Amino acid sequence: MSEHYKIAIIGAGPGGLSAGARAAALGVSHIVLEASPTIAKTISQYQKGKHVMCEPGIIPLRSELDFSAGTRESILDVWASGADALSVNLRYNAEVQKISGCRKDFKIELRDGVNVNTEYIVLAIGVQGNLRRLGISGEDYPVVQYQLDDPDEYFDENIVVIGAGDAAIENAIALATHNDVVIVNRRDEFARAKQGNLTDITKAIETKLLDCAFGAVPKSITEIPASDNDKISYRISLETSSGAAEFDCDRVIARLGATPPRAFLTDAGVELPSDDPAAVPALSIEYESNVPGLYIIGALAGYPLIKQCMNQGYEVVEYIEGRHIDPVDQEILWEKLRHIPGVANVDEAITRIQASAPIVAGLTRLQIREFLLDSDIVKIPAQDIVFEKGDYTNSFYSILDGEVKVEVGEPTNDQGITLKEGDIFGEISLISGRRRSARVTAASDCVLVETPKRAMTRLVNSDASARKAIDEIFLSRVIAQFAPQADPAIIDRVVRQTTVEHFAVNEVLFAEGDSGDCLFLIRSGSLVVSRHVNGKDITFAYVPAGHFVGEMALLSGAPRSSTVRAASVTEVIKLTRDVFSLLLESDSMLRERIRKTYEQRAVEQLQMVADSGLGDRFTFLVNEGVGEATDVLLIDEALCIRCDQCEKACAGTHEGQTRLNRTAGPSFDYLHLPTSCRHCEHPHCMKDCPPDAISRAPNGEVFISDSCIGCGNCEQNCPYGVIHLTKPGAVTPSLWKQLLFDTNDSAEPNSPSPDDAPKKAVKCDMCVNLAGGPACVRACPTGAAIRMSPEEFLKVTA
Amino acid sequence: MYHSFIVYKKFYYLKWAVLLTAICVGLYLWHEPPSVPNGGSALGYLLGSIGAALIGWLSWFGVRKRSYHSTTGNVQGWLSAHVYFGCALFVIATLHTGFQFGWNIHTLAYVLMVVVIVSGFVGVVLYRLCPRMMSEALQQASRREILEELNETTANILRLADEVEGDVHDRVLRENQDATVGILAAASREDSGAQAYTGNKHSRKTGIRNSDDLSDHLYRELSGTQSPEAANTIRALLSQLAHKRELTGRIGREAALKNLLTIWLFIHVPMSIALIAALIIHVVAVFAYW
Repeated sequence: MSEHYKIAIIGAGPGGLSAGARAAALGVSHIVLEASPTIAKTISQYQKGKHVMCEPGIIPLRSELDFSAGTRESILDVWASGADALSVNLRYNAEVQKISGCRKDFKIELRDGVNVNTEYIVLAIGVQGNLRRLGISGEDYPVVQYQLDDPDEYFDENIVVIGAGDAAIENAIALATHNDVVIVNRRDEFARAKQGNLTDITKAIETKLLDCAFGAVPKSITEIPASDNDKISYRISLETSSGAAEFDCDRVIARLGATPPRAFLTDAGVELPSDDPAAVPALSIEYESNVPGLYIIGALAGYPLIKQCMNQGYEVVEYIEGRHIDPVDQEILWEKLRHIPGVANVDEAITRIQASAPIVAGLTRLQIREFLLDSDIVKIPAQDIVFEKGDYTNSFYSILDGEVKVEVGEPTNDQGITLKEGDIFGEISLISGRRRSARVTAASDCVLVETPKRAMTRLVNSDASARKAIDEIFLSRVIAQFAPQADPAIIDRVVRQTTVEHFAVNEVLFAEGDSGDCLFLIRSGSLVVSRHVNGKDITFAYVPAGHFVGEMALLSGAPRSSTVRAASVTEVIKLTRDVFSLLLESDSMLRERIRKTYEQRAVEQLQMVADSGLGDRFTFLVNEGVGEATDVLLIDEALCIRCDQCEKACAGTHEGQTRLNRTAGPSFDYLHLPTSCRHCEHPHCMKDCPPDAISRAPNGEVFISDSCIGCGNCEQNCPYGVIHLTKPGAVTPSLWKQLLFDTNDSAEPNSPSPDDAPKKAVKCDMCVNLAGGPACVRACPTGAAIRMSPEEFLKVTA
Repeated sequence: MYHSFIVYKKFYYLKWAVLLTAICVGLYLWHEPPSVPNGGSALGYLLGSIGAALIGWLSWFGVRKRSYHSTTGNVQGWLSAHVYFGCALFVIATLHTGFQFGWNIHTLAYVLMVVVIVSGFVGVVLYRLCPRMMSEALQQASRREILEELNETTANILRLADEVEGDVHDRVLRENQDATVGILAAASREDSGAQAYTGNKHSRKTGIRNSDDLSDHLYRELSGTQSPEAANTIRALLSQLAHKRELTGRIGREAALKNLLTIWLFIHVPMSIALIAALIIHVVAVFAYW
């Protein structure tokens, strides 16, 4: 059986539907193939009543279907009725098995055996993938389900949950309150789960909240004939390491993850630049992949926002129909690019950038457009500062026009180096997450491309040559900072002979007494140095990225005098003895500088050994993950009167919602670490933010802007639990009430806002908009609350 | 580790307060009043004005403390100044009286001021002592951790009691009932959890007495039992009961100290307001009967 259409659109999400709607409106022969029984599967799986936002606000909507911010239900209704009104040819439960052929002659094989012949394919399948099925006999019984909407719907059932990932664990624990639950894990531990879920499931198994079958593989599901009671029951058979096992069950919930759509792409012949999940296929300006006639739009192409998907759906049909319309963001892009001297339109500007910025040379024009949309084109007048040494910003710069001067040391004794058109800078902070290591000023009027960290991450993951170029420049500049007088040719030789090594938290780089044959420059992360004194380990130094360790053993030839561990996930550049002696020969001052550092460290070490409590407190903090922080709220319990002024001040300056929880968090030796953002070097929260709403300001704070769409990724990604999704709204009691009854309860959840009000992520923004700095610290009456960096900790608490 | 409000900026505000006090005392000694020293002399008016201004400014602390957007200094500095200028006020206002006291509104205002200042002293002492004692009471753990441990211990006790013959389980259950309510409440709101242990003194005392009875009973059982297994269970039960009592004690001490830290304010703040009212009457009366 075979059918023929001009355009086959795979996936009925916002992109696919919008493409289908445009094709229908133009009267083009088309079909939209959807694997699930519903439109927009990802969105329909959002929790009930979830408010869906329509960022980015500045981009207009270009689609036959309507879309504006609202509840999940209302948006799905609008799309369904819109698609109906236009008679979009939608086919549900049409899972695509295979794509073959090319332009004008594609063949699509569906799971039910139907073949679809088509001239063009639009892939709009998103990144969720199709849910993996059990693949055992009995999997078609109605008791088997692959997702769980609301665990509170089930009571007093025997439920078997299959899987060991986060979804399986969360489902099993949620169900276990009202049901008898067995979780079936193919392996002997829950290695794939997030730390929080791992703790929860281990505890649940220990306390017998639920049962767990480890090392168990499902074999079959059989029906048990109804006996005395009329309810049909089922039995699942497992094969375990200790033999066969069977469970009677009313329900089987299999959470086996999804088949990655990337595999599907590769099968269809689409090339992916790397294995990194963030890498997206290279596409033409018209979204066409390397397979002619195969177009890719939406999240799979690297565009996660609904509005972008819908616009692309519209545009891709226009392109297939041979109409060359400008992309919807043309004007926005021109607004940015018009600063570039001597270009008349967007196309010229892209050509110019492609020619003058080597790191984007390997990208397609569509990728460059995307790169530029994420970036800012900034015009800096001569003598103005681009960034100051010590700033916390981590954006990356490419010079389009003009020159800049880079000064590593003090302006008076350092002439600095000059960078020209085509050069890049800012890579050290981008990679290390630390403060800027140099001051950069415009030597002449210049035009720069300023790209935020997230866009850079996407770039280096999508283009191996860009990654290599940036890594090499980083390495040579870091080594040049370590040995400033060294000959550039020697530095080049050194760069080629170094290796990068990775260390997990608490992993040992070298131990006291080891023989020292190399030194380490910290590329990203941080280290702690400790020594074994009087039967216990005393930590006496914290070394952040950009610094070096292990040099003394190389100079003196003596064994290592201390143990060095990673305080956070750390990457170090290893310099062997031979390489190091090259540098020593080339830079006559290097030996002297290392000796000074050593003396300073020796003094600190003595101080630490004298006050062993200090080392213990430091060890406590490192174990709590402070190693990767840049700014931590630490409370001295010996001064804290538990008045919660810090929380009240936070709430009072942030729409009635406190972003810190004083009582939560661990304590050690009168030092309390409340639950409050630590402004990590490489913020976990920034990893996956679809609207790119999380940024870092020059003074270090990591803050969330109003473009937050409330997806909750940052809340999940934060290992310290400092981000919450809440609705705004506050009522502060009158001053008299506060004075007389001490009931300033604005720190409590208050004034119910309407249920449909959108939830947004909130976290400590270090009072970015407030003169005078963080309200929590300024409002503390006893001076118990202080914010500091791990480096400052040693000074403050000594 | 850090610097408290007392040593704030190396006693910066103490120095100013001492200077102000010294000037006032000097003026008082130097001044020769027309008759006896009193508030109606030229110096009396000056000292009175300084005192009234200080009272106004000291009271403003209550407002500044809650002005979270304010950038005039920080609250720690304000508190440091509040304490030292509060002490200065005591001297200055006393000089203002010319040591004339009587049964009138003027002396009432003075007495109220003394009550406020003395309660403030109590506050300073509590602020210095209690925080450390609270941490010591909890022994490095957070209150939530202790409540969780308490929960687990209670569960252990019930499980062990189940294995002991006789009516031990019932007795344990009865003895636990108050505590269980407390822990459940604690889960919903931390503060009230601790209140459940300390707030109701009667129930706490009964709880302890009951558990003493229970322990006595178990010791008798222990000496009577022949089975080594039963003896082990009873021993474990006794140690869990002791552990629970210790945990309850810790969390109770911490909560009691926390209450101390707020309770003095229930005198300090209302008395300040009364003082301001009395002060206004005092000033109006003085000028009305000039």
